[in-house]
Amino acid sequence: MTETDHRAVFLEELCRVAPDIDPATVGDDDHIQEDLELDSMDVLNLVAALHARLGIDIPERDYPEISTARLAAAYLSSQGAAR
Amino acid sequence: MRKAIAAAMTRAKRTIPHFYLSETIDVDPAIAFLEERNAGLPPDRRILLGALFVRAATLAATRVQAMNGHYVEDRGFVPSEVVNPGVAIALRGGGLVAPALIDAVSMTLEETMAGMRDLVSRARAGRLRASEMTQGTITVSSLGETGAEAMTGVIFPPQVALVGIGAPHLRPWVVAGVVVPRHVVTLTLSADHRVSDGRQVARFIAAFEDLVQTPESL
Repeated sequence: MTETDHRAVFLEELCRVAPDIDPATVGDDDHIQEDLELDSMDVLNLVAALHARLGIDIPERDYPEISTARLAAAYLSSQGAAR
Repeated sequence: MRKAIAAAMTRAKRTIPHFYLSETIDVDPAIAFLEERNAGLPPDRRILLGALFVRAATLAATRVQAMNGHYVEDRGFVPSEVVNPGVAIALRGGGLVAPALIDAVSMTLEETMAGMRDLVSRARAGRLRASEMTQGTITVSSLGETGAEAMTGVIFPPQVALVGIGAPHLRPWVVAGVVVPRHVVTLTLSADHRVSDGRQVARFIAAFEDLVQTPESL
């Protein structure tokens, strides 16, 4: 999977956790908590969904690495490649 | 949504003689407990500090009956035999809901967390049950990991108490006679003076603090 694919997967799971967000309106640098208003439970649901979908287990200390679509695409690609 | 909140909160402030007690609590033991516990676990088994607070509030409510139940106009206070903590969830675009976690005493900490995740997911999808919106017996409103350090909340009628918990802040704290940096939260209990007095609220807060500082007991 490329970074573009990972970005798409991230956005898909983000909008499944928060169905009232329109993926077309999410900017690459929008912060999922500060800009998109996810709470800590939503973030955990997102991390769990990414784990189920991609098999990538994101530890709590790495949560800042998925705080925007741009960061998440790069992080998921590097973690996916490392597996 | 705004109209429903306006109606409930106006009713609360018109009819409930609120009073408030606050306490700042060291949560480093709870944070350390969760970090160690969560480190080796997959995401869907991790527990958040918010779930630990709901579990502590649930157990504290079993010890102080005057915090848990409904005030009904013609009967006065009707204590509840079960504890159904309403979990306040902020909605995007404004508004908030506080669906109840039904019979939370019977749950483990893990089940409390799973129940809260389910409530948040269904609140986002607009799939809460009507019973969950009416059967709460005490509300727990916590500001999450970031935000203001304290909140003085409005009781959700016909309930008689609301546990408001600010976001953890790093502060100088005295432990065993030495000043050390600690993460603390400020708990503010809003209570109904028709039902309880400061003494009962202080007992609830002391029970909550004891539980949070011995997280393995939850």
